[in-house]
Amino acid sequence: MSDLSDAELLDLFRKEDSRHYAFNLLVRQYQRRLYAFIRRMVTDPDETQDVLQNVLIKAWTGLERFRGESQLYSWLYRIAHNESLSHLARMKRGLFVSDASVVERLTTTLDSSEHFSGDLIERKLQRAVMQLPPKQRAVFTMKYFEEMKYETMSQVTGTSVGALKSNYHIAVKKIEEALTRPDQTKS
Amino acid sequence: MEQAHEHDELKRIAPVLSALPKRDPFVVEEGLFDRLPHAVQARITAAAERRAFSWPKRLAIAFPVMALLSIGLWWMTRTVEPAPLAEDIITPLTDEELESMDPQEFMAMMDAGTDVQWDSVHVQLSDDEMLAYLEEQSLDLTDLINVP
Repeated sequence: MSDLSDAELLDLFRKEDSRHYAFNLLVRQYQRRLYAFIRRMVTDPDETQDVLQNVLIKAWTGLERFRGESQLYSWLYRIAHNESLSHLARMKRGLFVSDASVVERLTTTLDSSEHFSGDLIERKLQRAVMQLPPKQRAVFTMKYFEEMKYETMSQVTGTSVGALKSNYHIAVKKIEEALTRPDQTKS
Repeated sequence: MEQAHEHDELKRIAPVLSALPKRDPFVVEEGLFDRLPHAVQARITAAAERRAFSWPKRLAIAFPVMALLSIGLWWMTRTVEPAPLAEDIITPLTDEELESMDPQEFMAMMDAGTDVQWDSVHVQLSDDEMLAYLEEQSLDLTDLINVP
């Protein structure tokens, strides 16, 4: 079945008898893209599933009030962005540790995961992405991997386009530096 | 146009990064995207059921139950007033009044006192005393027995 437009999905959702059906279509339509973003943010596959489920539950609760000021896709992305950042903040609070320790944990998860099929350079790239502060990681992921427009990113993050551009520029510089740095750890 | 410009910019500031192929290296658990919509719907349904049994509904059930329990407790613990004793009900009569009283009238008066506990009335007369009383009153025992 081809994807429905935002308006078609919302029309179906607003009818009581087709509400669950419409939401099911919405989940099927957006779950892969949302999963990819969250996975790059939190790394662990089980935690990614938890975060994604929370995102979709929040979408169900909030969709009634969604008035279509933005695209459904960017609205869902906004929830995923906020939920991922909250998850990372909770992880830091739960472990009573610094950002560096959280990054270390994410790296360990990446290295020990059989759910990562990347080669050496892709692993190095992912490690470099994880070194970025969470908000910068989100900006880099949206721009570099998802090729999202700055205007959409601005709706998602609630940050100005100018601030996003400079944030991305800094992130790219850091990543390039990490990629060109000689390996100090075995991969 | 904008994308081409951004790519050129990326090539300029990060040549290694821009040369990397963009593919998703994360392996997704098999069947995850088939299961996920059902898992989410299950959580939504469970949350709706929890909300359905909300506080007003809980109170609507709890109040009648509490009321019934209170009534039951009161019923079990209430103090029952004992029935009045015969001595408390019968107005003491003088000897003259007793002598002048017609036996039929006396029995009728006794019948009127339905709540009297006759077990608590203790009359201790010997057979001789009873016969003497009947003789003095010129009463025939068979007449007394046949009183309706």
